[in-house]
Amino acid sequence: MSDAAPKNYLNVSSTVASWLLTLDHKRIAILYLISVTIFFFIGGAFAVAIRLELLTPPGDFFLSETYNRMFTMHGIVMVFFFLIPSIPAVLGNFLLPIMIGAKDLAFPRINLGSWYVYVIGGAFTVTAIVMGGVDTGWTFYTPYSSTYSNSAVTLTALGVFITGFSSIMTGLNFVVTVHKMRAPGMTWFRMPLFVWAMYATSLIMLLGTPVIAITILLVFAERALGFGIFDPALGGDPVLFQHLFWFYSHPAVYIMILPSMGVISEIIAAFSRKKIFGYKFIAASSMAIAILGFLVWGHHMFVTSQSMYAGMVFSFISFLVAIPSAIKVFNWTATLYKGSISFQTPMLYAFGFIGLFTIGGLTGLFLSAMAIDVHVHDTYFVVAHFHYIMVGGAIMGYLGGLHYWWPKMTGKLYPEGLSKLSAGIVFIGFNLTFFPQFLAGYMGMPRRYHMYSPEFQVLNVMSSCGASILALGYLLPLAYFLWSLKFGRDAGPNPWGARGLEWEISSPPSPHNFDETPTGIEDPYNYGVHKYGVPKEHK
Amino acid sequence: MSTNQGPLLSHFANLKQQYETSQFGMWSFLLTEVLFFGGLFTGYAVYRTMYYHAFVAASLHLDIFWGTFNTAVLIASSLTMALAVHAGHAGNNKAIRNYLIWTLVLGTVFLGVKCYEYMHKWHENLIPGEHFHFPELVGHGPELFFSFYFMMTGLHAVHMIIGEVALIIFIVRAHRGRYSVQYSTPIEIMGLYWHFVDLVWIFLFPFLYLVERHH
Amino acid sequence: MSKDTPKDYYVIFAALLILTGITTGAAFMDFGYFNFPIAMIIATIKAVLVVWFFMHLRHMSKLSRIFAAGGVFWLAIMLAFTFADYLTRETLIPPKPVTWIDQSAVRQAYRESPRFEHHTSEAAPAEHH
Repeated sequence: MSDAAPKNYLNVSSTVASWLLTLDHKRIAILYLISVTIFFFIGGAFAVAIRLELLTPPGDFFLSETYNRMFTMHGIVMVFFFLIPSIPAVLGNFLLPIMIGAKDLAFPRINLGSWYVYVIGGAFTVTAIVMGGVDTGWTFYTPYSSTYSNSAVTLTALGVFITGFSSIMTGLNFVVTVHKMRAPGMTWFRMPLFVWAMYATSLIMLLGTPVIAITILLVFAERALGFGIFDPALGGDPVLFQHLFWFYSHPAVYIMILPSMGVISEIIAAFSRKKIFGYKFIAASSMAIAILGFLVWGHHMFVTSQSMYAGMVFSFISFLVAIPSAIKVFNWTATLYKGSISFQTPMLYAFGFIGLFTIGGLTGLFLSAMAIDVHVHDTYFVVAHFHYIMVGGAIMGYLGGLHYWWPKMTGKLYPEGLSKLSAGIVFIGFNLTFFPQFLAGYMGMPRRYHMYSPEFQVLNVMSSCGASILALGYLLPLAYFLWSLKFGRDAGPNPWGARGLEWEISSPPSPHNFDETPTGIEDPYNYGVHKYGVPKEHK
Repeated sequence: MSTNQGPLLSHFANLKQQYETSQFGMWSFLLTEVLFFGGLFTGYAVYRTMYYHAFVAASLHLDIFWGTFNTAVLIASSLTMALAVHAGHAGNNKAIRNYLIWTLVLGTVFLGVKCYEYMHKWHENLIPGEHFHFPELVGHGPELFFSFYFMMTGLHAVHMIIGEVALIIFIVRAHRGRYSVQYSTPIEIMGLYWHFVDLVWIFLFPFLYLVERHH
Repeated sequence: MSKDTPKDYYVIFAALLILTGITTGAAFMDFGYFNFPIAMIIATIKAVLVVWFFMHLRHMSKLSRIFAAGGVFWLAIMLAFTFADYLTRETLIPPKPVTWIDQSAVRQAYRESPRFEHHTSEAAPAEHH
């Protein structure tokens, strides 16, 4: 016999202070969810501005300087304030302790601190936006950013510097938690692959983020104090900035994609009702991507004065880093084989991910070849490549994860028909937006220009139309998720009939996750065992 | 090693887990600090390779006496910190407090000497920026050297100041008898941080002060 | 750590002071190419003493040791690959002398060539990288 309203982490207390001073990793995840969503739509607004300008060849919507600020702020907000925190800080924070049978992360106060640091860094950046933004490109290349730009570089640099510490705090928390807080019997190879992905991501956060922190601090010193570090006029080397910048920023893109891959592993297994194929290979490939990802940063610098021989090394290792990614794609596909596949919304996003990530990854291989990169560097080919990975990959994984775990996090179900439609809209909108960009880039349209040669207009119009469809696809989930909070049906502990510790507790979970430490932990994804019964239909 | 290190926080299963988690957390943090300073070391190394003779000439303007003195002072503060941690294991609050005070004093001496050195640089027009003046050599090397000198020692000094604030907090707590055989983990963690700051200086000193002095 | 005595710490302290004196003294001597490596070796010995004894890494778990070593290793990667660029620029093969091409003449020739007549666009061809 249960109580009338069993206490869960959402309703256990409802004062503002109980939310803003919470130490519960689940509440902190919700705080992140709200802030990350706000920044996503801010970054999206800049994208709208870009696509509006690019409808016509001449630069007639904005001045050049203004357009520079549009794409720069789009990049900065999306990369640092959405893509890097999204899955780790929202889904990782919520699920990691539960998936390993712990009551919370290792350092709950550091967890809360990381959210406040994120918000403070965000406040600096929003202030910078209000004061006119930055026009250097999200890559802050020197000496433009350190000496010549007249925009709010200092303020934005401080904002990014501060937010970097949020990333470090989260990563540190996750690494220590995975090492030290696993329930008895939860060995490394019984952990869900999502946890492996979060662990690998957190290692990258720990090792890479400090380097961009110091690099940005140097740019700040150069700008504010006149220290000539990257300015050639003062003896500095701009390529040194690029080395230091990309030492973090390349692994950063793996911070953005690895968690998504972890989500996909969970979804594919659940909606094929089958044990994931090649568990150890997928786990090892997460680690391999994390490690190899630190050895390839020079592939962003092929057309600088970087030595050709160093370029060859970077190019070769960039080819190697595609291998673990491919292993994952093959293993997911093998998981589907002879599985009992159901096309619920999370699975639709997972399918979208696999296809679009494959295209993005393959085009990355084209870019890794120096001879090709010389021609397509700084064209829309690169833009299309990374949007296929970041949007077609990372964001699809994020949305898939949100749709998969929303019933767990909120205890509510969203309307399945509408969510499937929405997934379709996202897929169509995405491809219409970014596939033409491959073609435009290959034919020579440069990036970061607001005027272009008329022969590219057809492709750009297609892209902008696609962007409006994509925007609809992102607004719909916002609407029906909010709707579901009030009007959605109750989800129950396991609406999908999936395996995993998170599905054995109530939805929403109680404040301490588990009443007692879980025992009898078995291998993950043991779908052969009929312990959980048939998934509840909720059409 | 750990004797009971309580009190037990609610999300931990046992005291051993709690203790090991704190230790491992600090080591992970120090890992990030290695990379944080490492970026500066990388930049410095690149420019030293490019502008070696300018760096030699610029480094001669650093006072090797004060540099060596500061190194010795910081190593001594590491010693007193280690002794404070040792006293922590014995639960001897008075000894903890006294050794931490010594650490604080030695750290302050270090910072005082650095202040003196910085002021000296200001008078010699060696602060990078519009007032920089290095007549012995043409070129940008010396200004780059001093940019890195101030960034690296400045960042190190910031870490020391943060450490000193933490030391003050622990001194007050030890004075109030807060620590015991069962509870001295914070002192150990503080010790790890302080020793790391010492480690950074152990590398900063030869990099900056001892480039080449055999003329 | 309960095995460490204050005497151990004083011994390490003395060793560190002696090494500091040695490294300062060595700076005044000329070892040619070995100046820098010697300074680095001495600094590394001092660092190992601090980490192993003062920071009690010798009593810590293997995991903490791996993380300590990992940080150093990752810094080594950053240094190694960055220097792989700087040290191999134009030192192995000197750059070929540049032949300046008259761009406008090339474009003029292209516009007059039979291939160009198949272009329907009246605008000048887009600049390719």
